[in-house]
Amino acid sequence: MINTVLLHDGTLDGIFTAVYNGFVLKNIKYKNNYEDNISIADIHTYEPHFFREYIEVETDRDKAYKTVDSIVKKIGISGYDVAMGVACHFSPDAGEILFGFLVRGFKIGKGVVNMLTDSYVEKAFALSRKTYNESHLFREFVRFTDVKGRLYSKIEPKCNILHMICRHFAERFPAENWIIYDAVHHIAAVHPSFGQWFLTDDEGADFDRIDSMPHDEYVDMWKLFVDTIAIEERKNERCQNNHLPKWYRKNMTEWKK
Amino acid sequence: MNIIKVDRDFTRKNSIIENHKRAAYEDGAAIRDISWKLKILTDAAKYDVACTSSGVERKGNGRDMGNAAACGICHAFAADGRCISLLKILMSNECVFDCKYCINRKSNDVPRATFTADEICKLTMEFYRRNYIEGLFLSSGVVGTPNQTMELMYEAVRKLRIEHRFNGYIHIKAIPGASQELVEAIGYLTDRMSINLEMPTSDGLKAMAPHKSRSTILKPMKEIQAGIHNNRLTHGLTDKRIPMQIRDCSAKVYEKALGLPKKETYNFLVENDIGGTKTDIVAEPKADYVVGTRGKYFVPAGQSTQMIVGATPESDYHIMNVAEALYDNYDLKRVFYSAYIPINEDSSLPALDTKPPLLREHRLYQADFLLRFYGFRAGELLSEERPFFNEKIDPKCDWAVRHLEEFPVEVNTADLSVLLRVPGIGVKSARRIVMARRYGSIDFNDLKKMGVVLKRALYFITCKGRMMYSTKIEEEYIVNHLVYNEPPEKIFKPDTGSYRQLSLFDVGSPLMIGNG
Repeated sequence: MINTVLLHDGTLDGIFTAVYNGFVLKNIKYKNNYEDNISIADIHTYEPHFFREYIEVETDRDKAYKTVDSIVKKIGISGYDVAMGVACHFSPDAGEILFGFLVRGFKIGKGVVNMLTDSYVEKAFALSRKTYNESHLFREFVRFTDVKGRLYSKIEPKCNILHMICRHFAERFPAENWIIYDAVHHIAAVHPSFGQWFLTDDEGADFDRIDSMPHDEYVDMWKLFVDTIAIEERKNERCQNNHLPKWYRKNMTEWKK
Repeated sequence: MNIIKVDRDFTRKNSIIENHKRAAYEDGAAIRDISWKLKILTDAAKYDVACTSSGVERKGNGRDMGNAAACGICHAFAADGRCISLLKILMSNECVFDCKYCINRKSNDVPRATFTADEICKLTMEFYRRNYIEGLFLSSGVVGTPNQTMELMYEAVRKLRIEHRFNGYIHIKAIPGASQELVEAIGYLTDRMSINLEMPTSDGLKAMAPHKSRSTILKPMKEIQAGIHNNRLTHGLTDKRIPMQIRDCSAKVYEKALGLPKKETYNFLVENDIGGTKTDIVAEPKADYVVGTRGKYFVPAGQSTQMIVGATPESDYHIMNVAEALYDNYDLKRVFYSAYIPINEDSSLPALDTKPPLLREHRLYQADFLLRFYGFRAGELLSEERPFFNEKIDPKCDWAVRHLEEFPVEVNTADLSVLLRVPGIGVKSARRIVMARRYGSIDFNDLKKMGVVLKRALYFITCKGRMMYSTKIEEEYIVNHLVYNEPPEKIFKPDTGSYRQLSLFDVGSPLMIGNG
C-alpha cells in the first residue's frame, strides 16, 4: 500500500534525488516493514490520490550522484542499467517500479537482476527493455538534415533517450557539428566538431526556423532510393508497420511530404 | 581501315541515355545525373537480399567518420518490409553474362548506367553523415571481364576507405571468376564479402546461368574462408560466433594492409562435396595463400551467400542440406534465400505470372535459424520421404509433433539444449528460464512474462509437474490446435464441448501434411 509519494521535477537528477530521499524516509518511518509504502512520481504528470502524502523533492545533484554510486556498488552495473532504463521510461508507474526494484536490489544485491519471478523486478525489466529498445530504434531512425554544412535532427521520443544515443553519434561523427533536438522533453544535444557533446534545454532556441532553410538536395535522392529499393511483388505493409511503427515516422526524411 | 560494326539497338539505347544525360546537364545540375544513375542502379540491385550490417564491432577513431556495431543497425524499412541498412547499389548494370533469371542479363533491353568511383564515394559519404545508412553494399554486373569489374570496384572502395577515410560498413559482392589477388586486396578493405551461390545445385546453375559455374563460385568462397580463418587466428579468435573487435581502425590500417601480405604456409582441408551432392569442382586455393598478420583485418564480418528459391525444382530438403554444408564446411555467417520473382520470360523458367514463393522462403529462414542457433540438423527437420516443409506450422513445431516421445519437458529442470527444442521457447527466453530458476521455481505466468509463446509451448511443457491445461499428447490433436492458432483461453473454455474447431481434418484434407 503506497502512502507516501515523493515528487521530482522530471530530470534524471531529480529522479535520483527522490530515490535518495525515499530511502532516508523509509529508514525513519517504515523501518520494520518490508511493504512498499513509498513511491516517486513526476510533479508535472502525477495524479493525486486520497490518503496519500505528497512531498516535493528539491533536486540536489550531490544526492543524485550518491544514489547512482551506491546503486552501482550494491546492485552492480547491470542493475544500474535496468534502473536507468526505468528512470527514463515515460510511464506514470515508472517511479513506483524503480523504487520497488531498488528496495529489493539493496536488500538482495547483485542477484536481483536474475529474480525475474518477482513482480517489481519483472516490471522493471519490462520498462527498461522498452526504453533501451526505443533508444536503439532512435539510433536507427534519427535523420540529420544538412543546414549550411551543419547537421540538425529533431526527434519526438516517448522515453527520455536522448542522452543514450548521443555517445553513438559522437563516436560516429566526431568531425561534424551536430544537434539533436528532443521536442518532447525540450532538451537538445549539441556536438561541436572534435569536441565533447553536451545536453542543454531549448530556452530561447528557435528550432522551427531551420525548416525554412534552403533545401537539402540529398533528401530527394534518399527518397528516390527508398522508393526504388522496394520490390513491388513483395509489397507487405504489415511487415513494414511492424518494423517501423508509424509514430516513429514523424520526423523521418523519407516519410515527410 | 577499320570497319566499325554498328549495333542499331545499342546506339538507340545509348542515344536515349545520352539524351537523358544532356537534359540533366542542361539543367545545370550534375546531381540530376547522379539521381538518374541512382534510380537505375538501385532498381537493378534490389533483388539482392542480405542487406545486413552486422558481425563486426569497429570503434570510431575520433577523427574519421564512421564506426560499426556488431548487432547491425537497420535505418529504414522499404514498402516490402525489408530493412534498408546499407546503400545497396550496383556499380554498373552493364553485364556480359546472360543469366536467365536476372534483370540485368545481357539480352535484356533495360537502361544501363555505371557509377564512377567518385560518385559512389560521394553518395555513401553524404548518405552516411545524415544517418540514412550504415554503409555501402556494392555489387555489379560484369563489365568486360570479371577482373576488370573487380578492379573498378576495388578502386571505388579504396577511394572510400583511404581518400574519404570512411570507417563505416562495406559489403562487397565478389564477382565469380575474379582473380585471387583482387579478392584478397578487396577483402582487406571490406567488412563482409559474399558470393552468390544462385542455385542450390550445379545442374540448376548450369541451366540458369551459362556463364557461371560452381567452381568459379566455390573456389573464391573457400579462399575467403581460409583468409578469414587465418586472420581471426592471428587475432586470437577461435570461436566463430564472437564478432571481431577493431579498435585501431583508420585509413593507415587499410593502407598498411594493402601492402604485400606476408606469405605463410597453410594447409587446406579441401571439400569437394557439398550438401550430399557431388559438385563439379575441387576447390584448390594455392597452398601459400594466406591473409593477414595482426593489425590487418580480412573480411572481419565474415562471408555470406544467397540462393534463389523456386526457379529450379530442388526440394527444401536439398536446399537445407546445401545450407548446412555451407555452414559446416565454408564457415558462412549467413545463407540467404530469395524467393524467385519472375522478371524474364524463358522456357526454362517459371511463368511470368508465378507468385514469388514467400511462405516457402519464410519457412527456409525459420529452419535456417534452427540450424544456426537451436542445434538442429537438416536431417532432423526433413527427409527424403518428406522433402518439403509443412506450410501450416513452422519447422520447429513440425519437428516437435513428430517427436512427441521427447515431451512434455519439465521447465524447472530441463537442460538448455532441451528447452531450445521446445516450440514457443526462443534462445533469449530459454536463457532467461535457466537464469531465473536458480532463484525460485517457475510457473506458467512467469514463463509468459519471460517472453515464452505459451500458445505454442503449452502442449510440450510442464511446470512443477503439471501441464497448463489438460491437453492430450497426440499428434493430430496438437497439430489441429497449432494450425488454428487460437489463444488457449478460447480453445480450452469448458463449455465449448468438443475441442475440434473444424471438421476439415476428418475428410482428409491436404492440411494433414503434419501427420506425415
